[in-house]
Amino acid sequence: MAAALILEIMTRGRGQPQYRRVRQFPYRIGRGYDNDLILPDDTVSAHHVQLERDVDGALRVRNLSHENGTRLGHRKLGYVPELLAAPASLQLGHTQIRVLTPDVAVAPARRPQAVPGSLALVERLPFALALLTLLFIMEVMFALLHQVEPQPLKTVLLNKAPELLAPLFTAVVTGFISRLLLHRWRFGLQLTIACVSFIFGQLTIELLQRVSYYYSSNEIASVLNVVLAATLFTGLFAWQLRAFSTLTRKRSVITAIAIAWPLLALFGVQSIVREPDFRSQPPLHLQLHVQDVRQQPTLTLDAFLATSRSELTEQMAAEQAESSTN
Amino acid sequence: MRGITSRLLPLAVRSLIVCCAFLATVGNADELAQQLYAAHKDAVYRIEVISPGTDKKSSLGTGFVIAREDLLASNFHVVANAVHEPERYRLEWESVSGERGPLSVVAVDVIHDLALLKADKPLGRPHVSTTLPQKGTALYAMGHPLGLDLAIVPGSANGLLEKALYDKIHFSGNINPGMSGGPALDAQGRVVGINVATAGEAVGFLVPAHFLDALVQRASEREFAVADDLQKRITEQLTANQDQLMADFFAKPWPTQQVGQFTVPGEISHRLDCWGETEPATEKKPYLEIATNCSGQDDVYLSERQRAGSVAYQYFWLESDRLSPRAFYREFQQRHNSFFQSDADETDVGNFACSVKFVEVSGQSFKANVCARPYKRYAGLTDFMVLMAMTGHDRQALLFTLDLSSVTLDNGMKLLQQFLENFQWQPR
Repeated sequence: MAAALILEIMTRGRGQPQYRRVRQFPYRIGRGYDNDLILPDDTVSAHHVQLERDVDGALRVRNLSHENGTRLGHRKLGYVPELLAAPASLQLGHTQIRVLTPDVAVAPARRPQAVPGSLALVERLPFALALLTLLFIMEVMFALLHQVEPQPLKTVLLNKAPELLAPLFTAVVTGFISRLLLHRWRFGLQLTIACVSFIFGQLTIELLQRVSYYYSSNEIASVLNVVLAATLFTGLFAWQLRAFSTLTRKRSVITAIAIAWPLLALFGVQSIVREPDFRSQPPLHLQLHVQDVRQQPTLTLDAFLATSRSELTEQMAAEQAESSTN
Repeated sequence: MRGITSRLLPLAVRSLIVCCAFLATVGNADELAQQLYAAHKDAVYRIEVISPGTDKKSSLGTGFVIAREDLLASNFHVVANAVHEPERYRLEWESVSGERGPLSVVAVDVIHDLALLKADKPLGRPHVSTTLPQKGTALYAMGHPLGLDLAIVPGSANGLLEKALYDKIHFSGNINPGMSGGPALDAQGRVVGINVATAGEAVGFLVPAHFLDALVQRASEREFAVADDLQKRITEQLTANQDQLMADFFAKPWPTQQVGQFTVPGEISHRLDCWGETEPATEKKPYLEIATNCSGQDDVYLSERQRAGSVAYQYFWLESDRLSPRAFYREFQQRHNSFFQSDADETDVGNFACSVKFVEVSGQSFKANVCARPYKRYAGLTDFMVLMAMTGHDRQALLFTLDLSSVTLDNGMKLLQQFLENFQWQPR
């Protein structure tokens, strides 16, 4: 009879599985050197388990030792040999053996790049370099807009050039991780991710400043800050995870949320816990913006004095009530 | 050892003439000082604030017999700890000969930093007070400098300070911490003032004796009974003081000054001191900065951490014709901040409450942070601060801050209103 069984042997902590073809029965597995399959696992007995074929062709598995026992599927194997129907899984100590037949279908081959075809562009190095240029132009533009002491363009460009190193360095580090995990550098993709992170970071800061001025409130600004930071971070982290693995989009987003949000929540809790009871300086709202776009109306002097006074009275009374209940 | 170091700026003017006049009468002065010391040494005492845990002194000053044989006058700041935390601190006197005894507080005047203390036995002949003599009159300050033995320090009276919210005599002589609460005597041995503060070498300050007379008068109406409601009285004094300050400020129409394109209130009281500085635009710094500030040069001592009765306001103008609006606003925002000068902690005050509003002042819109925090021991009083920034101009900016300590919210808002009503935009 042709080879009827394949064993997929996976030892804890050994990475890739090994495969054995079973050509004759009985087939004995254990740590001893007289076995058909010798397992270098010290939680496995010298003679641990035996695969047998009945006269009528049925496969059975027989426990030879009860030191650490054997599991067939989710059940513990007893003294009576049990019927084995491939595919099945056996657990011997730290070793997991899947019993397969050659006709078990395998999953279709995955594309090594986990990006849909339409976005394949982001993996190209020229695209990444274009983004890097865009980032640089943004930096230079901000520098020119904010410069107090007028400088020639050449000086500004030279001053800003070292900032190109940040995304490049990030891409090298993530690329190296990718090399370890996937055996590929994928520098184009990594540089794209790094550049997008930096560009979105800049834009988020700009947006936050405007929003903070718009609402004239430190509380709203900090809530928005957390929401935006969480979204942006999760998105980028999911993308990076996907670039490091063969996860689907959904799985990578879920993994990113599962890792990032508890951490963010922890930071949130910490900021609440560490909030001092007493601050010696007032919580001023210091944001100013050249575009005077805001939610609050401009009050007349009388209305301003009246509302400020009533707000202060109210706030101080509220705090007094709170501190007296504590 | 303690004694407040006044926040007064060093007064740089030194009078050589006074110095030479001293040389001429040196023999005379020597003898006089010896006589005064001999006559008064038994009526001037070291005052120690004892912390019961260690039974050691935690701070000290000087006191002298006044009005009655068992009454000592001193500074409030010498005994402040015992007033605020009578369960933690007690007071003791110690004579030149080393005798000791307990003291209790009869009355205080926080505004002028005075305290009246009672001993359990007669301590000597009471001093008599007198009015402020002419400038140049020789005075002799007695006390325990740095807690050393009783010393007598010659100097001279130089009139009342002009730039002070709370009247003080300028004494040209060395007053050191530990001498606080001691008497400054004239040649006849009468008390002209009470040593209270120093501002560096040979610049000292005395509380005029008439404030002590008034305090003695008030205490005599209660037959010098030991007070058990001092905090309440301090509240009354602080409240009355800030009402008085406001009344002073509102008494006269305010002079104006020009800050950039705004006309704003200038020196609203002659007791305030104003400073200013203009930095024109240069090649490296393409914006014009004008800063002026006015402030009370002294304040009221409440505790080691807390001062009351301070007043300060400042204007800052920023203008540029070359900066991009974004760059200009970056510079503007960097300067848009204000810190409240105080070491008060949560036992003294509550947290600041702030209100952020936009207001139109003389046709220009301002972003205004108005903040206040309540005093915990002195009901009704607050620390009050305002930070306002002009908005809506690309290359011109005005900042205005107003800081007041120990005012009622009403008075703070009233003063703010008066300020803003006197703002006037000058179109070019």
